[in-house]
Amino acid sequence: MRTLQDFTMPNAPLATPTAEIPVQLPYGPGMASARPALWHSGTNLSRFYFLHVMGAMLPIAAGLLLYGWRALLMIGLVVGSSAVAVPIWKRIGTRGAQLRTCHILWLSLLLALMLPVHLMTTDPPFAGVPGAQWSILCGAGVLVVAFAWLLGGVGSARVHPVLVAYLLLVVVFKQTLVPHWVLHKDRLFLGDVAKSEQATLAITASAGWVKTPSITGQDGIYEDAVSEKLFRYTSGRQRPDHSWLSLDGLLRDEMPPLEDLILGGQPGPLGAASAIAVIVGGLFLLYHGVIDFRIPLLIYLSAFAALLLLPIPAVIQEIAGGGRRAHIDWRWFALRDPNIGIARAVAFVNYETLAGPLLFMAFFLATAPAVRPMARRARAIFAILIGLLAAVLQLYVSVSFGPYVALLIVSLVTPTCDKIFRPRPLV
Amino acid sequence: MNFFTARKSGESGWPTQAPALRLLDVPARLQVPLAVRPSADQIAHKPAGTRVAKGERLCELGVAGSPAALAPTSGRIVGASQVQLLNGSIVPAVDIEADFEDRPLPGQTHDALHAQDQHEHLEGLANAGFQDLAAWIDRLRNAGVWAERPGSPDLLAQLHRALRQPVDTIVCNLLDDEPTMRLNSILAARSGPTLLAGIGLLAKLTEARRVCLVVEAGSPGKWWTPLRRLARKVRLEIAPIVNDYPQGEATMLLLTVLNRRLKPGRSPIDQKVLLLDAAATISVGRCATREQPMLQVPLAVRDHHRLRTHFLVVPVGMSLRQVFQQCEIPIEGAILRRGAVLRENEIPPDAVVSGGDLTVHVMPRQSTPLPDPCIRCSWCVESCPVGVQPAGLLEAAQRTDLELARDYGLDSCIECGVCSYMCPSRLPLLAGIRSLKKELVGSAPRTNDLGVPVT
Repeated sequence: MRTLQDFTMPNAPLATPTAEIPVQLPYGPGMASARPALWHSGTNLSRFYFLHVMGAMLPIAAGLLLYGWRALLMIGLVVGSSAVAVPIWKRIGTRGAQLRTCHILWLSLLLALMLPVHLMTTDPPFAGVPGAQWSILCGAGVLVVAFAWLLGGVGSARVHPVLVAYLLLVVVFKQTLVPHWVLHKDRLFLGDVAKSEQATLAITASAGWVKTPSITGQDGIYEDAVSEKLFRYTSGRQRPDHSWLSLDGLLRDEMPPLEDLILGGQPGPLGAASAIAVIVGGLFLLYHGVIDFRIPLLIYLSAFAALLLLPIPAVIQEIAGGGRRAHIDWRWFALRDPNIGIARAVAFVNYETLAGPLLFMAFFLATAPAVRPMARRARAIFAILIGLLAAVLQLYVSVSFGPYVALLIVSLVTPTCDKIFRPRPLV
Repeated sequence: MNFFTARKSGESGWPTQAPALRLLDVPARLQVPLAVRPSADQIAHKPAGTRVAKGERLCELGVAGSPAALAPTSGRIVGASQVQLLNGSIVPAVDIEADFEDRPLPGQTHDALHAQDQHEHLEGLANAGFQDLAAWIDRLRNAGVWAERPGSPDLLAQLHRALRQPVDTIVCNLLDDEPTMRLNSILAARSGPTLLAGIGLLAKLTEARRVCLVVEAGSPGKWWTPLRRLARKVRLEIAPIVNDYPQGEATMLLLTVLNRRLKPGRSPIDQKVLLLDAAATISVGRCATREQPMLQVPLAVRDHHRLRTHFLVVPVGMSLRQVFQQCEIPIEGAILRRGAVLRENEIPPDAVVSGGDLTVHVMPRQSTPLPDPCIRCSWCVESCPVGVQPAGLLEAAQRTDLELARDYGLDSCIECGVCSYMCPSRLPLLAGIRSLKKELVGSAPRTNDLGVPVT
């Protein structure tokens, strides 16, 4: 006697082979690039950081195009010196056991992307600066390992080791880290960025990088970084060439076209050479779920809003008979000033956000797992705080490293955010 | 965030037609489990040597709510033992030696050939009502109807509670955890009338206003055509939902389908819902329409070595070892997991088939790599279907801090194992959570069924 006749067959065929189909999950970060198994999604620590490196590939490619082969050597030197230092630091104490090579190599790559390419030279890049600047790069590679060790290794460092290493370099080497060179458009990648003379040719606002004519025997173009020009103006240190300098005049006469910042063509740190490359690299990370969209988005939006709101000089006017002293006409919420207007205020904010490393910091540093809070609400607050602070520091301290300092300060509140904002279970 | 990549599997895993289940032969020896947990020497089973007929009660143990232990085949009682079930619990069992005669109880026929048309049976059940619920619970109990698994919590316990608490919705869970093991869907597709008879009966008994059959969205319409036609006749609702793992779990299902928040481990009756899966519903339907006891259960076995899934019907009390022998699945050097593979529930090959989980994985043994430190990537938090913080729970487990664990949502964890699956550091998150729950159970004051503390 058989039961369950409606769905059984005593001689039902044996099961035929069917391919393994991974479990369907509503959220599968990093799985597009992984090989999911039954036990595990396939994304391990190495793959996690490999995804980050893949995200950084586009900024690296832009840097290589704009700053030439020396950029490649620079990356190799920083990452290589870290790779040499890691096995040594791994043996030191229990903290050493927390270091992971893939993590350290990613950190050293990040640090390399924050540095200017002229450090990869044997001759002095500026007058009064010693030669063999490449030794700074070797030191930077070792420094990042040392700080990673000191701050607790992978997952533990609430303060980003790369930020600490970079800011230490800034304090020690000051102006040496200010970028001044970019390759001419005819000499992309193959050119030598150090093959140029100071102040022989400047990129002008009217011409821009694309229209700058080439000079025989020179591959690079020397120019003041936009970040330096902006900071001199917003901090009130700029002295007008004529009797006065307005915001309009600054944007029209001193600044390059905005495309030079979006696509690239201005002196800058290797990783922040092209804003669009940074954004696309960041979108790659977003697509693979290794970063949270809230952080870069809210950093950018809050910085944008703060830059519109905070007081900036509307006009810097020389005081007659006052020598180099000047009267600065500060304006809160500049877009409401009829002499500035919405268009100019927004253009100014665009220059501010694109000239510095704000986007690079927002996509690649502030999203670091150890630095940002765990809960989503906490991340939103974290990002807004960074954006606001970065705007203040960009305007009055430095465009070049203001965003980094902002991140360093705000990351100190991450443990508090984690304590206050606990996840809310659905049931 | 990435909501796209996880669903990029090349195959949907749906065959064009629901495959038939293979009926396994009754083995020489069976260990028929009891759904209660006294020690083996306390079971008042029939004495060893007693000959029993197919479907005969093996034990007179009268514990309220537990299903009767019935002989899946005719044979001789040879003793009692302890067995592990496919839901992990260890219970006493009555051992039977089959005589391969398959004698039915005197005066009883279960042959479907003699059964009347099922529509007539449905009409015969039309007059059932809430007043008959207690009687029907006894009938189901005597028929050995038993279901106790994550997607279908203890059926008889739910019905007992329905006597005291009203039920407004019945949810029939036709979702499966894994795309390669769609047992519930196959049962529902091949046995629609019986399923609808079962659910129709339960709807009348509980006076539920809403009856919902939850099916997987994207499944082939051809599978559901007969069921849909019948459901339309009796006005049942078929609700297709996206079946991302662990959608088939009771807590998740109630949250998605009804937006009701059921704490893990609690009865769905708390939320006025009676929840059961296809296998349980069909057992009820078979009992109602043909008076057939539950002597066999459906089982899906995934052989990960050969990438084959066996859909089987197995006598209650058959051990997995016997199942694997009949299916020629080698288990040397393999590990066995019951239920969803991510739940990491390992079972021995001597576990017996009953009303517990209906899926078994035979997997190659894997070397477990040493975990890396937590990198705070938050993937465990992002992927957790109930929104707890597994990394925090692991920290609480390491400190044995139950207060911290509660803050991180220990009570809401459904132990689906998604966090361990996602963790790039391969941290034992699920194991940590389970150790915390054990700690929690150990620290809680013990009470009896009436809530009175016991020592």
